[in-house]
Amino acid sequence: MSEKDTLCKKLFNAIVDGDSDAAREAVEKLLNLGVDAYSIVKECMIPAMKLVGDKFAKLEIFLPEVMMAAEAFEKCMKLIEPKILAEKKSELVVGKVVIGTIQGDIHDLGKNIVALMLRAAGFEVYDLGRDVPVAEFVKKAKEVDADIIAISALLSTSLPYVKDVIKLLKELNLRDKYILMVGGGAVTREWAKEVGADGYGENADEAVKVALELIEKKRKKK
Amino acid sequence: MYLDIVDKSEQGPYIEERDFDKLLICKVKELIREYEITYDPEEVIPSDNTLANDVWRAGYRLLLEVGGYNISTRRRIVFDDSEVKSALKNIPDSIVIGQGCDARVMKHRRVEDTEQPIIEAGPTGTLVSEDIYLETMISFAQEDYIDAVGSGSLKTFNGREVKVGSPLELRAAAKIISLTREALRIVNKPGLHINDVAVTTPWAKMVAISEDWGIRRTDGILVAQMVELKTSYEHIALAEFAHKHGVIVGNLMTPIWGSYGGGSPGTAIISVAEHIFGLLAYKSLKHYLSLTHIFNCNNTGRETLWVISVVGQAIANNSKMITLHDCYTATGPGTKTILYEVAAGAITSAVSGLHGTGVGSAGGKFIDQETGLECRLYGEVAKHSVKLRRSDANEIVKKLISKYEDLLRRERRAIPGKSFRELYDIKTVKPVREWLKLYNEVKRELIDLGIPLPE
Repeated sequence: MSEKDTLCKKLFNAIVDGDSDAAREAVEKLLNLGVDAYSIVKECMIPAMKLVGDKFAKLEIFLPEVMMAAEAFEKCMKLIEPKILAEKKSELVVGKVVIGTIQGDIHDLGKNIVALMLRAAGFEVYDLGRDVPVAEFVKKAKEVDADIIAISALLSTSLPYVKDVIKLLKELNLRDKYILMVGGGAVTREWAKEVGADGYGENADEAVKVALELIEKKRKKK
Repeated sequence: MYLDIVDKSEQGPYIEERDFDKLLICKVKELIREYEITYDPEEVIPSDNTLANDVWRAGYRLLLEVGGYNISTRRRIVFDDSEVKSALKNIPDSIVIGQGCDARVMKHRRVEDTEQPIIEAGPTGTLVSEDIYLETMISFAQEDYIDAVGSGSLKTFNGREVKVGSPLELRAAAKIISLTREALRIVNKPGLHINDVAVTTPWAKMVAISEDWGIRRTDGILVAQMVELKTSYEHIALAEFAHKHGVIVGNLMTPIWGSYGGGSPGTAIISVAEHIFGLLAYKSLKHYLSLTHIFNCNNTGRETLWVISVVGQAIANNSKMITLHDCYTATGPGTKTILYEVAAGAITSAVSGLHGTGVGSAGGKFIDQETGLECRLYGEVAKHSVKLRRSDANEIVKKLISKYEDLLRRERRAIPGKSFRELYDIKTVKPVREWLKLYNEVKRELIDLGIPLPE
């Protein structure tokens, strides 16, 4: 195994274990070795977060481990990002997502997990937080030229606001511009279909898979 | 204490919410290690008092060392040991709920307590259609094993969808309480305790508190904590408002298995801390342990029932608090599976020092998917399980879990069943033959498993 491979393996394991210090150390050594920043992210870091996501989906690990892994990933990204060439940077970004918990609903745990996993999958995520007014989703999506608007709802009585987002998008002739995804405790697959959402995630794992599929479809359309 | 909580919310250490979550995670991990709390899947209902007492100590320490979080002020709410001890000392170990002939004395339960638990039943916040709201509530209220009711959320008001935070929520709150009271009158139990009005916005709940037509002094209001150990000024104000009107405040905890606490030991520690936090922040006299699995939205799986049992025992052995298991199933009504889930939950809570409430069928996720019959089973199993010892209950519960465990692992979601319209005759408000047949078959199986139910 080459030194690069050994260090890449170290970085991979450090992210999976949520060991930020070890991860940063491995990144620094890889950069000193002259390894291209883009390939460090692509070959060592993203696969590590993919494994973390898979383990969480099987409940082999829990949210605290996911959070620690994500923190290690983010810290490495901060170190590495300035060294990635501009043209390569855009290759790393799968798509832009505006995400939030809908108006009236302050339950954001599920949304936070999805945001975290989307980031790890290479999405640029704009997290609007919780109790997000209907118009804010649209405003932010326009501002950042998002690909996806992702809305979470745990309270069943907050669901009508999700429909209001769709209604507003239609009124502004923007419905086809964005992929609309929904999820959360109150949302069912059937309801998502009924209101005309483009995608639904039963959990974070599915949400990421669906987001990737829908982005791919959108790109092909173009 | 109200002014204390406001002062603490203003003067506690400032911390961003994400950092509070991290602080909580680290402390929970540390406490699991320090008290060597481990989860044994074969001991769903542990008989080891040391384990429950260690979970109590760890939860108590978590509350002291991390405290709660006020999302309105972004400050930690911290307490010292004497404040916690004093609050725990100065609570009654029994309360009266409901009124007149329908009143009940609700007592702090002990582990393997031979006195029957109180059962509060209803759609537990699940959406209910306006046209069958009354019938749905009757289906619960008419059951003999039920001591109190909880309302469901109203899908529409006069055909308009009820949105959280909209003025329509006020009308919905009034209608929910009116229809619930009407259901109680129809079944001749006018004084039965109503544990909450199922709207979300605190001010809409406040509106429903009225001695003339709404939530009365002998009823309750649930005040929620956010995941985990979080409150807000709105919630603190709601608790205060309810106290001003003499209404019993219920501390609604919704810990999530698989989230900040990690697995079963951490979730149990957090759940104990949330009991104490609810007592201090809301002056709650009733505590609702509404634990849910991160994927299946239930608390009837092996690892979540362990949490229910250990937390129930921890509270029972170390405090005078009155706590209830808020039963959430992964599967929906009209199936045998939900009945197995309900029975497992009822046995576990009954022998572990808890009262019972629910049932949140299929995670409370599907409109009109809740019926009185699954609650009948919860009630009768819980009340008759008081004759069991923990070790015997453990063996029965494991057999029940084996009937649905693979399904839950495979599906990793709440699984819909059938709706109230399909399972009840709406005119007579009686379960249809097929639903009753499933219930009778499962009841027979439960008797064969050793649950001392009447034939």
